[in-house]
Amino acid sequence: MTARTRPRRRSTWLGDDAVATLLPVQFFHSAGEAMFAVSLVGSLFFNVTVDAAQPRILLYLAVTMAPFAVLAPLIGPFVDRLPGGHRWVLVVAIGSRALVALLLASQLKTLLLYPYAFLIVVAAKVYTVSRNSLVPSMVDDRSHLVLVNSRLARAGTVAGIVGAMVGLAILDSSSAAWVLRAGAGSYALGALAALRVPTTTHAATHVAPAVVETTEMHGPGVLSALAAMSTLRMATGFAFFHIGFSLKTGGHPAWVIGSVAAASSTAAFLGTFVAPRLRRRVTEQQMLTMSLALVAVAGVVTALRFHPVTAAVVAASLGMAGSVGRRGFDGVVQVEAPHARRGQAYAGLETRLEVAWVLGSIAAVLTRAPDWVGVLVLSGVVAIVVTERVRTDRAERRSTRESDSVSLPHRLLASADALALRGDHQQAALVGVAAVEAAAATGLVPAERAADLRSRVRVVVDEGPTADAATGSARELLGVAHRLVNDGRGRPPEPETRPIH
Amino acid sequence: MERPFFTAGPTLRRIRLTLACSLLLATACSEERAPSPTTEAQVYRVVVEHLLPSGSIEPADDSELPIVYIAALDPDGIDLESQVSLVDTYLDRYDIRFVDDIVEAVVSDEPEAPVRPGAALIGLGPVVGDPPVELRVEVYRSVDDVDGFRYLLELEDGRWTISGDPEPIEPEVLVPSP
Repeated sequence: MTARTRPRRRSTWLGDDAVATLLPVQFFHSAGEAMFAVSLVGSLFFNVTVDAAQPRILLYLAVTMAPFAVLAPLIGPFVDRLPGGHRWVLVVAIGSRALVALLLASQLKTLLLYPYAFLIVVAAKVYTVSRNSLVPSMVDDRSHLVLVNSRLARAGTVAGIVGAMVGLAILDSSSAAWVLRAGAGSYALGALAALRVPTTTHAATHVAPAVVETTEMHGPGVLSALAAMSTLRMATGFAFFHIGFSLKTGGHPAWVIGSVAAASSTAAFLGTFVAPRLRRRVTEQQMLTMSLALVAVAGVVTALRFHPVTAAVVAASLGMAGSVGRRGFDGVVQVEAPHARRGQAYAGLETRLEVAWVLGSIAAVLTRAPDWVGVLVLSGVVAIVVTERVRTDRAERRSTRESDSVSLPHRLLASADALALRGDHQQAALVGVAAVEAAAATGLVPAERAADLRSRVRVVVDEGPTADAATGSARELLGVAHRLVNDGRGRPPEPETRPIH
Repeated sequence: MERPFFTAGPTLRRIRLTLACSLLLATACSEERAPSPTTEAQVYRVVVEHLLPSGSIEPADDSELPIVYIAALDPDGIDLESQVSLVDTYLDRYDIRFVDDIVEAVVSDEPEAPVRPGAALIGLGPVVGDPPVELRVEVYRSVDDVDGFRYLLELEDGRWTISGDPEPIEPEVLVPSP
């Protein structure tokens, strides 16, 4: 009886049985992550000057990014093709962190700190990309994606708090090396838990072709959300190093830097509760814009007087914005890419987010701007993105209002033209046929002409997407669709002309 | 037309690039292994030993090591290898902390800006010359209490030794600007 009710309770909280297996993985990984962070208090980082360490940090940040950018396109297809491949990526990512953490434990005060620490960062990024790419393929119901991601994030934060408390207790009674060894143990438990992740996912059985996923994932809504989320990740990477260096060179002890990091984590946790409430009032895209605006405002406040308290404010705003923005981003992907389930469809997006974090970090290390200047620049860049998003949002709403007065066939033709401009000629031809059929349904085009065009398009589609002849024919068919819809009665009403005076 | 299996397609190029990056990372790791103390590190060690013999600083807390803040007197700073070597040398005796700015080492809130409790602050200049070498050192206790010395060191049987008494000089770097 008890054995039957336990999994049911777990699946209720996370929404899906398969995804529930990720919960212990996330828990042990986050606990290990917190212990790794605590152990850095006893590392070489606080013994050497930032000036002297700067070239080395830059080198390893660059090395962190390079294999990532290269490997990312391989990870997705690898995960999807190999039976249980996604599970092994998780096991290797967390297992390697356990191994490197063990090696680092005896090297915290040597130059090996830098390569080992950055190897741990690389493995963390592989884990994040793999996990976030995996969740959509594991949820039973696609509409659970936002909820599951939100709850996984919440569980991760709780685990982080537990891990940090355990780490601080070990640090007080023993040494940073033992904190790291405990962290390695937590990672090892996470790797063991990852072995329980199911080998089959819904992605293996779903029917949407890859081209549909790709098209959905490259839609304007998804790309706009990706740009906003990338800005947030870049800002987080920048702030991580900029605030850390500024506080250290300002003579603030490690506990102050730890408190600023804790403020960020706490705000991220609160963000998982704020996001669903915010979602009831605004759209996902607006959630992203508001998250960016929060960072811009907090940045200005901090730049007015840089102090550990104001640094904690900007760190907390980034934590909150990252959390709320992530829910908004997941929501956009859930709505605008309903067929995307394969890992490779997500790996590209997730990789761009991680690379954005690294680029932000590199900018902070490279410039070493004075404390308030760096935060002001960060705030300015984010404010520019906010302004652009607000402007685009207004333009889109105006365009939507205007397009309501344009007939459906003409709107479909405009979509077909956009697809053709992007090089998707076959898809453009298909949408062109839809425009003709819409016109035929209202009697604007003879039904037999629409049927004829439909049969010609079928031939083109059967030739395959890469055939040059098919592309040429698709272009021609789109031209035919234009002529049919615009021929006489299909033409939209002339815009109202106003006298100059 | 199908591409032959082993031509440089995008996947193969990515694999090559990945291997190159891995090699770069491995090389970067191997460079870090057990660096031998630099001349600067050896000279600094002898001078720090002379300035701060065991028991000369009371730690703020019995469970902690006394802290020795070290600032570079030269704008070029002290190289990372020398810093790490010195940290390693005193791992069991002092918590050596190199600082970018002396604000890290002093209590700025107090008018005298004394060194933080349980700590010492010294400034080390560049090692100048072939053996014998010269080293400029400043010892900071508070804004009104800064000493400067010029050390002369010789290399005898592979070991650095201080030649004569250090010459008192006017401190220039660890003093507040007028």
